[in-house]
Amino acid sequence: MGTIRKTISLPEQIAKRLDWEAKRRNTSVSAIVTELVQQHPAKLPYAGLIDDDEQMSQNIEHFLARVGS
Amino acid sequence: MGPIVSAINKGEKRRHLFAAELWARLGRKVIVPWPVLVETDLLLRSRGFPSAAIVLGESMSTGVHRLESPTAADLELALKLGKRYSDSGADLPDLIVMAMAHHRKAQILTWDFRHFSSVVLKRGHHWPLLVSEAEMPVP
Repeated sequence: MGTIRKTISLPEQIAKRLDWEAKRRNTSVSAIVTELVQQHPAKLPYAGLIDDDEQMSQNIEHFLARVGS
Repeated sequence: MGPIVSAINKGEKRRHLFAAELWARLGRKVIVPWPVLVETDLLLRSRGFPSAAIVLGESMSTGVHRLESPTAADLELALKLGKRYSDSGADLPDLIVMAMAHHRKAQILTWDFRHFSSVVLKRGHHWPLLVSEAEMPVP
């Protein structure tokens, strides 16, 4: 996956902590931000989008068999 | 494919909550084989939910999980298993999941316990499942 350059604004104390942590770990600020975002369990964009048959995931073949009929 | 359908379908109640939390926590640790995305897209559209199918596709496109194509070796193994177990009812997406899991030494997340126990690599083999049949919640 490629990288994109982002400019962000942070409270001074948070920015200092980020710089300090990067120095302590001998890594980049970008690497720490990436790690933090990846650790955070994001809400799934597709979760709960539909309200259908309660056995839908158990009857996939049955539903797919109807496609085109 | 079952677990991703459960995550999308809140009508599955407890199973939906379980699946949605699992997929959210696993994030980019999950590899979604292309055939699974295509089959899920087809299912959602056949049930009258084209916009949900688009959101699911966008989630894969933006890297919520890792969408991966099967390799030639994956297809070769999938077809070999398909020939050997032609009466099992396992379809190509199931067989591709097995082959990709085998080549990547990955666990499998499925609700299709019947097919994943009837198709094996060799006598005594069983697929490493992330969630066992006993652990899958009822709706």
